[in-house]
Amino acid sequence: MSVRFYDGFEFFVLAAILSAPAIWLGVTERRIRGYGIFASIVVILFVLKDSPKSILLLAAYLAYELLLVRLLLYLRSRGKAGKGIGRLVIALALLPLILSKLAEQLNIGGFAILGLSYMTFKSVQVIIEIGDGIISDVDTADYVYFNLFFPTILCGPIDRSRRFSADADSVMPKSEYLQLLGDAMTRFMTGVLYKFVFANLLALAGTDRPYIYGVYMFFDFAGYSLMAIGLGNIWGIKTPDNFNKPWLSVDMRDFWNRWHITLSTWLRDFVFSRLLRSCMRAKLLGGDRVYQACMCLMANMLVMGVWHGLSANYIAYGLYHGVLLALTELYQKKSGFYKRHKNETAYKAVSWFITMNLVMLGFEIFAGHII
Amino acid sequence: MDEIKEIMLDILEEMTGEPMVKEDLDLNLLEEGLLDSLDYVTLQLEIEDRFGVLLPPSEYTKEELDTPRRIIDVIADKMAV
Repeated sequence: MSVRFYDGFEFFVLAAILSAPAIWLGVTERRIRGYGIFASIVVILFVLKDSPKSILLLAAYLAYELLLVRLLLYLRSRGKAGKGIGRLVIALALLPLILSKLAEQLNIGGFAILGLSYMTFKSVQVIIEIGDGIISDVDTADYVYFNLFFPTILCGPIDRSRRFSADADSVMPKSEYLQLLGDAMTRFMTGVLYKFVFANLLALAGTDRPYIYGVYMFFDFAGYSLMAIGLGNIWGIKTPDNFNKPWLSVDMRDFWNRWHITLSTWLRDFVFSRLLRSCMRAKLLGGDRVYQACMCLMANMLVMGVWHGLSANYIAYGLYHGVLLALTELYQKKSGFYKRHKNETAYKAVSWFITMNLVMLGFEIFAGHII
Repeated sequence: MDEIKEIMLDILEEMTGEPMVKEDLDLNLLEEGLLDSLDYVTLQLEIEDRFGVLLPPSEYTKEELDTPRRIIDVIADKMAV
């Protein structure tokens, strides 16, 4: 028997069996957190049961990140955590991901950590918010649960620790939990329909074809995200949405507000906004805030591309979206034409058509069909 | 409180170019397209310079800061600490 996340009969049977006690706890107005930690560990052990090394690597990663959290909290409580220390700890928190991406690029195997790409967002968020003074204490059980929460460990959606722990620590009235459970079923079944019916049908049509590949990507990833959110809801966790009708986007900015939302908002909060803030303070580019924003958008999306992987197609994908977002920013802020026509139906239709084609071209770059 | 409100509304009016922000404190700045990600960073710096309080980008979601009233309340809370 092999258990793989959201893939194959075994995973869904295991998830269903483990969900039953969670539903009982929810309906009887008891806290699910303790059982949720147990269940997450059980699922992870099933997934990694043939590789004790992977289990050890995951445990070591978590212990390492927790150590960094404790260290930073300690230094801050002593008033010894200045900007330099803060940045050093962020770099150390990113180190496992950077090494893993390098190893992947150099074809060095054997050091893969389950869910590392997505867990790094969570670890780094906690570190940065400790540095900001927003987080002043971290409960070890909360931290472990946040990182290992099995519905979202592999591919998100990327949650935030303060939001997650508030859900995990609270007990809902029965009526509210039942309402959430109903929503959970709808989300989960919609996800199943998207991923296992629509995405699979599109795969049959051939994902090497432009347009079909883009629509396939949506049903595959949005379907996965809905299943993860729905499954998470059963445990009383309201993981944020990842997609919001991306095919209605009328420009590239709009697209990134609707596509892989938890990734784009994470990057906005922890990369773009902070870079832009530094640029503004340093009065770079003659102090022109629009030019500064353009530069930061490009850097932000380059980070997005590199996060996917260090190969040329991912870097090109990041640069492509960075340039498109920068051009959108320039055009919308500096063009009188845009300001005069932006609310007209015909303008929106043309803008939508161009956006969709730019998005589809982006997916072709992402898939490596071009580079 | 009144002073914070007055200064914040001046900042918001100047940033958005929309006098309505002073009339309707519940005007949704996100839905109306009056504040984007660049503006939120500008707002963060203005608040830091005028009131001496920090507003890190991830502390509140954009939805928690989407009307003049909500922004003013958050600043007032921070000033009270």
